[in-house]
Amino acid sequence: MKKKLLSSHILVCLLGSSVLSSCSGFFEVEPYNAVVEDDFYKTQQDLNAAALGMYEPLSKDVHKFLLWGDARADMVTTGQAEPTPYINEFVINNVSAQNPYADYANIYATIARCNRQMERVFDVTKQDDKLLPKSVNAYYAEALLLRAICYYTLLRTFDTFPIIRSDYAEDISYVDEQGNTVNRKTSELTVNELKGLLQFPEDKQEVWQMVYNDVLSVLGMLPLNFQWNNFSLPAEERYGRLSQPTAATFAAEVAIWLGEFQTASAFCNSPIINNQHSLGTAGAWPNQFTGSYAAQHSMFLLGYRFDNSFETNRLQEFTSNVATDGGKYYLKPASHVINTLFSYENTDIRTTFSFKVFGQDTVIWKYIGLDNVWSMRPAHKSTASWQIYRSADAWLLKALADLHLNDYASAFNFINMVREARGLIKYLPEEINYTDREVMLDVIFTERAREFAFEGKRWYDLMLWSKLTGRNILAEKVSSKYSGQVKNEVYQKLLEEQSWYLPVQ
Amino acid sequence: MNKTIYILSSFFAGLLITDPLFAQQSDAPSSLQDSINLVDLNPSSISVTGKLYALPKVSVMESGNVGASSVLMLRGVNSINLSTSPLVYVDGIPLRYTASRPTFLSTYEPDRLGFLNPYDVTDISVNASGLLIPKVGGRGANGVLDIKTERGEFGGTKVDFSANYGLNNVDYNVPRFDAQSMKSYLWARFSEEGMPAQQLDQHPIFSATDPVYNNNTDWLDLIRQRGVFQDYHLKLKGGDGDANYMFAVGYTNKDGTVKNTDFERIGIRFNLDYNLSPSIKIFNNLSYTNTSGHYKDFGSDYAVHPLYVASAKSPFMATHFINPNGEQSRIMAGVDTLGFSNPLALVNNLENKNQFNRIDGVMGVNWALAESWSLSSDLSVSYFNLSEKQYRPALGIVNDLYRIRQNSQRSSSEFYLNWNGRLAKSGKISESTNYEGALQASVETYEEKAIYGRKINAGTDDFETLEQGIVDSASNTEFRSNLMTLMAQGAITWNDRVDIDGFINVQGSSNFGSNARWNLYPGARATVYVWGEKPQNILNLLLGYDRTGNHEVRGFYHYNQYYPVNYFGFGAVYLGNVANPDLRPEITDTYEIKATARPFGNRLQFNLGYYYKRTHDLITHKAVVKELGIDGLFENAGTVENKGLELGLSAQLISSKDFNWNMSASVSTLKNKVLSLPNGDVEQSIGMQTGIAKEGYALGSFYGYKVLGVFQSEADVNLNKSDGTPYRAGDYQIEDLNGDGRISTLDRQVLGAPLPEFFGHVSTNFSYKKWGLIALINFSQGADIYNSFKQQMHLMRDYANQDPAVLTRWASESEPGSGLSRAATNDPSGNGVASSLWVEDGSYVKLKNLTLHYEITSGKSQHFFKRIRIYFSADNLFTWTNYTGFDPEVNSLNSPMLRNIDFGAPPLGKTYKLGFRASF
Repeated sequence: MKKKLLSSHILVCLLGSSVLSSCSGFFEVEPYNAVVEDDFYKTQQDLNAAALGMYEPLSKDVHKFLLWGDARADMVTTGQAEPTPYINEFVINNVSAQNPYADYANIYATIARCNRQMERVFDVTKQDDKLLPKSVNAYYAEALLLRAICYYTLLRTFDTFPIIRSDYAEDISYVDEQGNTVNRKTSELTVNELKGLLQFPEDKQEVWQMVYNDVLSVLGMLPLNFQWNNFSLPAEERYGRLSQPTAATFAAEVAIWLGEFQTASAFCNSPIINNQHSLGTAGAWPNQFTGSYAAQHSMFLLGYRFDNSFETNRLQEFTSNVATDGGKYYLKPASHVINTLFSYENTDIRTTFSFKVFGQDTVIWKYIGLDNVWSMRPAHKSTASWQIYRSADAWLLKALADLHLNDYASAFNFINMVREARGLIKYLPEEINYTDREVMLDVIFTERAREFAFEGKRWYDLMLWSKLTGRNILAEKVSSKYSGQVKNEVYQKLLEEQSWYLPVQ
Repeated sequence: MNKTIYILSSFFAGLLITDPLFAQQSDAPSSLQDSINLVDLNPSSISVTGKLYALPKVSVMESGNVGASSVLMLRGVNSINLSTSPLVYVDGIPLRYTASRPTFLSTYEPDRLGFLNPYDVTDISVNASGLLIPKVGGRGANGVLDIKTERGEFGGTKVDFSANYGLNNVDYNVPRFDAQSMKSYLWARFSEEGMPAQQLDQHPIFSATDPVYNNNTDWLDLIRQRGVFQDYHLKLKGGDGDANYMFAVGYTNKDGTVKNTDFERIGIRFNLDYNLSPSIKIFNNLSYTNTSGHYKDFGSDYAVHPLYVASAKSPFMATHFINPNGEQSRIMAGVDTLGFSNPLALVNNLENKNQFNRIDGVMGVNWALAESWSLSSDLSVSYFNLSEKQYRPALGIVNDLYRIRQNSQRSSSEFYLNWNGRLAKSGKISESTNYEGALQASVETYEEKAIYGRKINAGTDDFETLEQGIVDSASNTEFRSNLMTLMAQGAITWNDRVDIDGFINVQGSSNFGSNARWNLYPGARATVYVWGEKPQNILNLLLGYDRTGNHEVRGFYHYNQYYPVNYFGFGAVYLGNVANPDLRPEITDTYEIKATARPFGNRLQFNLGYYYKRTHDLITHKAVVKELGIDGLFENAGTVENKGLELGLSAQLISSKDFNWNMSASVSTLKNKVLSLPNGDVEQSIGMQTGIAKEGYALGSFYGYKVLGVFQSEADVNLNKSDGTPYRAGDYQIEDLNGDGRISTLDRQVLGAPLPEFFGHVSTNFSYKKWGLIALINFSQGADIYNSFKQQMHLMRDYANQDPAVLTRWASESEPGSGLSRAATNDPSGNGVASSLWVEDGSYVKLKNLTLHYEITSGKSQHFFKRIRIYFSADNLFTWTNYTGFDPEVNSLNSPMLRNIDFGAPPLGKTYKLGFRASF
């Protein structure tokens, strides 16, 4: 009896093990907290989640965009008495390649996710037959457009950078020296081999053309009305994701850089006549920053939600002077510059909301204020949206394009529309020599400086202004931020167009 | 009747459960194995790791942070991203010594061996390689601690009762300002920062009358306590030849030396051996332990570190609110004007609590079949649950960003089921040659789950649970791993002069993809009895080679994985890991040679060994160019070596009827070097400190800037910050490694290594008639310590109370001080970065334990007791060291990259203990 029990025990054990081992599933354990490839890119929900994932790396880097586009330019300087070196490098236009804030890795993370999305998007149609072809196109176009915006940012910011247009996560196809197409696994390539495979553009013009062509092909694919697969997008997604009006505005801006003013002017019409976008009211203008978005005003922004996912950016840290709120006061407005740029006649909402003066401290108010009086965001809840395109972009780009088409009246009108919408009185034709292109460029870029102050645009505006006039306005304006000997040093340095770009490690 | 109960209980236990005792049975005690009989040494540590101090090869660093895991190391460290702690077998049940989940608080790792009462343990074998435990295979790279609990023995019932009571005292004398000198320091700081004299005069802090700022509080004295240690253990042993049993109940309670820190354990254990027939033996183990503990955050989060805050808080502040009439209220003072928490709130109100339940069961059988065949099989089950809680109220405690109050809870469990089967045969090939062969298989499944939740900003401090507040974070993780081992083993003995053993272990793990799942772990050893036949030989020589692995990879890196992430409140997904289907375990090859000499029989044993341990295929993050935009891709690339001499000595110096004197000593040397890292240096950081794995240096070396001095004047400044602007007078002058005139991250260098050059112990055991004296000395030479706590006391970046040495800081060109930088709020020049200033030599010699005991034996058999031993012992009585922190035995993390960083956790302190042990 005893022996029997025992042998059955042993038998059960042996049997148990053979059953376990014969079962092929014994070793096939899948991760619990992640989705494996076999289970992903199956449905529209997967596609949509992957699409949202493309924006996430950019949303972590908006403080860098502030450094790249504003700290280097004329309207911003350091807030601290003894500035933090890596921040100061931007303010004094002396950025080193080791500077962590000059790292573009997150932009390439977005590019990689866009590339993967574009290669996978059409696979999903085979799996999810509820998915409409037009929605598939929309997902494709969204990825392509976001990638174009990334390259556009790299193009205007960095010295050299490679172009990656396919999904290299798993394998890389390339043509070797013998002219054969080789396909190799990324995991098997060494860093030096990978470096050798990176394709650097011949010149910047090549990238300009790529960006332009990409945005042109997107224009017809994105739906006009935020409806994908017959589902209306929630409000946050309308502005937190790319849309057709954004594509048109972006296309117009690229066209202006490329000197194609006719096209630019035409593209601007799309957002301008779209009834979802307008210049809005002066009263609602601060809502773009105090709320996550403002209907009519907002077009494309990087957004944050604190209440359920605790997403924040570092703009409060960078701009607030309140240490207990987590403010490091890295950056502040360059007072003497903004005093000449902003309007103090009448009530321009942008003058009262973009910055504030507290005793000794002038602060950038857009990202920390909750109204245009005193209310501030709570401590450590930095969720102000980062604007990439707003409706006002279309109006001011239209003015710029029409000016170069010698349609002075139209340019003049579009500027006045913006002025009026913000609480200023219209310019009268007799006040301004509006047929003088130089004068009008000054008026337009000043208006842009007021509208888009501290939104990471000023540096690029100065680049464009210089390009349009053929004069190095950037060097002139940026050096005006400094005084004494530094002023001339910076001026001399920025006369070289090469020094407008950040170095790459 | 008794037999029936035994049989029934054994089968009930067996239903749950089991163990491979044969691993020990098949391996005759060899000179490779180091184990001790644990009867004599009873340190006041709650963990069985306290007993390792008297063992060779293993380096132990216990912590005064009660309930925290000791840091163990066997033959160096050999992994960057995986665990480097030894695997532990408790009666054959494997146990990961370090948890794989991140710590609940900054550096507190609950001791995973805390469930085991040291009094239940009869033997600990330290296996530095897999040579003697072939089954270990893919998890043996860090060595194995093989722990056995006591079993029953033939004879009438024996009762052992032991009781211990001890007191632990720590003298927390952190150098710091008293109330008056703190005020003059602050006065100087404020005026250096440009506060005009008139404003200073009116500043309430400097008022001679304001009752809020005119106290004299010794904060450290208010938060410390004398730690009481209590341990009671009752053991029943007996057997009638067919059935032997051991039943033990233990209770342990130890208080820390900071208020409201403690550890409590209640455990029972029942081990049963039963002979079904002369050829069939079954064995069962069943144990249950509950432990609970309260602890504080003595890690890198200095804002709530009670010892730091008590040192840094101004002594002129009061413990309780002072009302406008100058009367002290009953309400505890809040966060003060200088931004510091109330240390009393940190020890009395902020609560971190652990509750741990573990149940283990083993059932096995050994069956001696016909003709020297034997079959054994066992099944073991182990389950534990750990619940961790934190309650952090608002009153008196600084906010954690937007979190005013927080309640967190984590509940985790591990389940483990293992079956082993083994068929063995032994016999003679010829008259002079014996052989032994075995085939073994084992199957194991392991599952781990954790649920974590944190709610914040409840309405009041009254809610100590997750009932109120908003969810701040929540997670639910699960990990499963299956393992199969197939093994063949053989041994030949020729003429009792030569032993040759060999094995092949083939192990498959679900942690890897099908390309790399199965791995081979072979080993072989040859022992030559050069002088004299075994077992009475005088000199033998052993050569060994074995291969082990480290397969604790939990990331499922052989799959493409999409990770969740948030964007604008929506659930987003991205490709977070790119599959590497060829990823395999890290592989360690150990070569060893060892000579054992016993020139005078058993009176003196001397052994000297040398090992060379090379680990390749380190799992590292593959370096890809960042333009590819992917972040997860792991591969096997990297090699590290550990090598050293191991010397052991034991001697019976005097052995007579009345006098006995034994001594033992060991020394192990260690040379660790990272040989290759094709993917480049690997850095890991905690707080402000960084550990690095860099080719040519010891793994986990401290990485930072080398300070050469202080710029005495503006004219002296010859270096720029990274932005090209010059340093200021009073800033540290840092060595400009690349000579570009700018100090940037490129100028960091290796500042020291946390691994000892050699370590060991000397113990002596002397007895005269009924009196006896035991002494244990431990030493460690050459390990550096990063003294983060000391740096914190010299930082001068806020208005913390500081070490009075800051009076010698650079104040102006006319008062350049003697070595410390200028004081500057928020440290704009980065004078507080990790630097060579805070790396200290951590060598020490410690009188670990001194015990005096007296034996009362009963002369007559009718006496109530057989034997009583009374003893008085003292732990950590003396430490000889140049280290300036609390204790050179630093307990930071069981992490190879972040060893020996001293955040100022409580030291072990001196413990005086009185105990007795009675046998009935």
